[in-house]
Amino acid sequence: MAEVERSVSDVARTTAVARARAQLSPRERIGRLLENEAVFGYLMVAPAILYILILVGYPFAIALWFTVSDATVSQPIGPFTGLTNLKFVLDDEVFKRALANTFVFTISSQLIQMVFGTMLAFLLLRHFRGRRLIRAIVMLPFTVPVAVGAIAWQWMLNPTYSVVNWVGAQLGFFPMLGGPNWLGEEQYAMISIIVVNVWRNLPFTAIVLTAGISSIPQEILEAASLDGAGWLTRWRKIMAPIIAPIIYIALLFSLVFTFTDMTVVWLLTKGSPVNSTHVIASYAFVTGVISGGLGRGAAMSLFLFPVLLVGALMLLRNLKARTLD
Amino acid sequence: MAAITIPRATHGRAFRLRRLRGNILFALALLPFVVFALFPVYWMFITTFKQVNDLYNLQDNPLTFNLAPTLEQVTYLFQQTNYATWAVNTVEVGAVVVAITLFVCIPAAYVLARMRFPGSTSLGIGIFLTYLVPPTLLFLPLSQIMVGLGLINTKWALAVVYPTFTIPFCTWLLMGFFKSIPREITEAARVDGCSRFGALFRVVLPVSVPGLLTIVIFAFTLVMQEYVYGLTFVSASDQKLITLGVVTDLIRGDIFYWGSLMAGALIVAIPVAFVYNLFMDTFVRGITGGSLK
Amino acid sequence: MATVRLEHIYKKFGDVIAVNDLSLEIRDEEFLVLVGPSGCGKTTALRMVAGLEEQTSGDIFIGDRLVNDVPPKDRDIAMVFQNYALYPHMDVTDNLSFGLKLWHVVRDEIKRRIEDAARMLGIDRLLQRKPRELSGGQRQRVALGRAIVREPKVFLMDEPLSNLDAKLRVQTRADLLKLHQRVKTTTIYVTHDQVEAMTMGDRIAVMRDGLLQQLDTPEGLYASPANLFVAGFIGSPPMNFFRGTVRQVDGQTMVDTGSVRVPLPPRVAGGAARAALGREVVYGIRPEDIEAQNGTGGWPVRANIEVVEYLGNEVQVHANVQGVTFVARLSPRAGARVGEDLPLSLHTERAHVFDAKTEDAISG
Repeated sequence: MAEVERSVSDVARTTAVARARAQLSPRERIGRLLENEAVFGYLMVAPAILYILILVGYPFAIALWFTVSDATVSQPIGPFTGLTNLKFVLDDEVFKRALANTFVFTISSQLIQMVFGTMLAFLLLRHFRGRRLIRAIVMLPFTVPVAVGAIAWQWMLNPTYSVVNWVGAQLGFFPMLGGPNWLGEEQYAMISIIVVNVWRNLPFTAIVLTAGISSIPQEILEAASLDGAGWLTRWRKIMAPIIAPIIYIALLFSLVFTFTDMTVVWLLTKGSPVNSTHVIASYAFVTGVISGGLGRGAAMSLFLFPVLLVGALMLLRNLKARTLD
Repeated sequence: MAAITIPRATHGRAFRLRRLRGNILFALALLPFVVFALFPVYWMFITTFKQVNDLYNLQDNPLTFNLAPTLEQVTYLFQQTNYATWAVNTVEVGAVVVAITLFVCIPAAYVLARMRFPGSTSLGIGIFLTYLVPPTLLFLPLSQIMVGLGLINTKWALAVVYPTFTIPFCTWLLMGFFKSIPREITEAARVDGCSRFGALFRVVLPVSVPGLLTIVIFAFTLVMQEYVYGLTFVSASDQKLITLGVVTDLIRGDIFYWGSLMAGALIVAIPVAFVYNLFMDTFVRGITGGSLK
Repeated sequence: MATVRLEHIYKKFGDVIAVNDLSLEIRDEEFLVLVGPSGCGKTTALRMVAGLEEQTSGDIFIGDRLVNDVPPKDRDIAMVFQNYALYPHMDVTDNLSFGLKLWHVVRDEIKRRIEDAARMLGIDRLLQRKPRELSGGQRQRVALGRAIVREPKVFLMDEPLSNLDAKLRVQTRADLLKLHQRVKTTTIYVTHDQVEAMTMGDRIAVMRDGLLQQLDTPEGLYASPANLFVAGFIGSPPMNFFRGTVRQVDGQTMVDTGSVRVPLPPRVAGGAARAALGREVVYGIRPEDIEAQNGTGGWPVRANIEVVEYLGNEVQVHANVQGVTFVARLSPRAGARVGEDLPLSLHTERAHVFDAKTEDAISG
């Protein structure tokens, strides 16, 4: 009996809803639909998703296809060649060198940045007159466009007119006009590239650390020093663990950007002398864009992907953890 | 009323000496960082205004002007090179990129910050992760797509591609701004007679002007300084944007026009550096996905 | 002006049932208060009436119109939020006229309504100010004004007073009531504060864990709470409860706590009490139904006074009768002193008895 009543009221209800809907003009009906949270939500993210799918997702798929095909600039839809490109790339001595360089540049600049970045962060945390100005100056390398910074360094390291060598000579490091050819000799060129990378990214590391450290509640540090914790203990046991997640993110980004960047190398050496300073990105550029070997170039770029993937996964974990609280 | 004299705190000699020593040590520690950061910019500056004979003279101190400063290089830059064209191109492409970025990011950031629908969190994270995808992974296929679209070797190729950087970054930056606006304001607007769209345009956007300004500036400065995609897609000089033009076209073969090169670089660098410095904290927050408060 | 009808409303958030089979009819011109502890579903219910939240199932009618599919903007309602939600970029005039412009009200009419509302609320001199230049009380008035000028079918108010300080809250409470007497718009008012509910509501709906516990007038809720929860929720200080068993002692039906025996109230003592014999029950008596003994009747007990809280017009004492403790509101002249014994009388005819298992009231 009760069930019968219920189904009767259900019918009445459905007809009422149907009638209410039927009275709407098409325009009103679209309006109603847009008030639905999910419909509205998907509609609003659609442009972003489409843009990314078309200009990041789709090219990425093509890059994968290039890797397994003999695509060239003149014949972009080349025949399927399987792993030939990958094999070629792995046999290429210059590429192996570029792969090693990429790691050397990324890791050594990262380490140097962490050490000096921490020092700089603590210096910037101190209150002193003109702090804002000093901060702005110290941040300059990060705020100046990368390409502009790199070209300025190229001029500073110019084989003939190197101001670095002039200053070095004045300080007695090198004989006058006899300093190293910074960008022309392999060892020096690699050092130069690392220095410019550090120059560029040190401010970022420092500012992230400053922000992290200053976000630590002062009371915690005071409580710790009342408890008798020395400076090193406070850093190791309190500050470092609190800012660890921030450092982690900063490190991740800095790593990924340094790892995949070709601007510094390209503007300083273009891979010279004799292809000894290439990184993956710059060599892929030479192979794919300048020589037109799309397949091989793409296969090289693909070596960036595992690192990116790990970075993305680590970041994902961090982001998920944070969106949950 | 009689003035009450408060005895001025006097410190012992030892204390003052110790403090002085601390300050000197501090300055000495900071100095190398300042010199390291500033010198290349100083070097650009002095190169820009040196006479050619001064610039390539190995006998004199290169750190100062040995001959009178000159605007020769800057004039050369504007009169003999495409510098002015590059600047105009940059403004045009910048405007398009800003427009695309706003059009795409505002709605996405709004719903991702405010609404829960199936998959919304994953979509947000997905958008953010594309920020990690570097140009070097995509420049080969993208150049083919640009050939297909007939945009290769034109500045508009860049206008199409740059939003792939700005969209992830600006979406997350805006999400932070939108989250800080009380939800009830949009609800009040909807009860008052706005559609969901209406609430966004009439209430949320007017309140978020500083956030919108930040992403406009970010998008524009990105266009000013990008290099890799420019190098890949554009080789015609009159289609180049400013940074690319400066660092490629002022070098003919092995001959560098260092004076005008540095002049051009400096003119780009100053406004970008100034703006970045103003918005530094916001940008760093955006880069790190809001993990800095 | 309209009635609001909720029929078998359910709302689930994932696995959590926020509102569970809520049926409620708010009469035309009524001031109905939804009250309950936080998380009881009262705000969710209100937001579903507003259309800001969609019910999982069930129907909502405003007037005779089924509004299930109707977006908030077309429901002809106005809402006052706890944090006021004024538009920060608009001055007071624009805040008030925002909705009217969207409803295409003509300009003269907008002007008239704003002037009326501003005068009624005493905000006529604030019309050019931005929300950030207003005090909390002023913002609250503007938020009310924004609802009033709309002249909607229904007002929805979500804890509109809880961001005000205590003194202002009491004053605004009275102002709101006066306002309702003037405009007579059907109002649904959500609060967690039972005092606010009792003083303001024509009727009160008490909710807990998504379930409607009782819907009644303030007098009805106070005099005959339907269950243990409502009994404990309404009234301050809250009703005293003791557990006991129903027994027949010397021909009288009593509740026996083990150490103390009290008689059942007469309205329960008949058939219901006989049915409850031997059952475990909760016996409830309000602090104001206990007096110092003065020969006027009531059930006499000798209590040891443990705590005395002096409030000026009364004292609240924590008394102990053979291990059973309770709170009583006494006259300051009753002479209660900490540590001393005091004879008290319980007005057991106004006591309440609840089934210990179902927690429902047992009545005759």
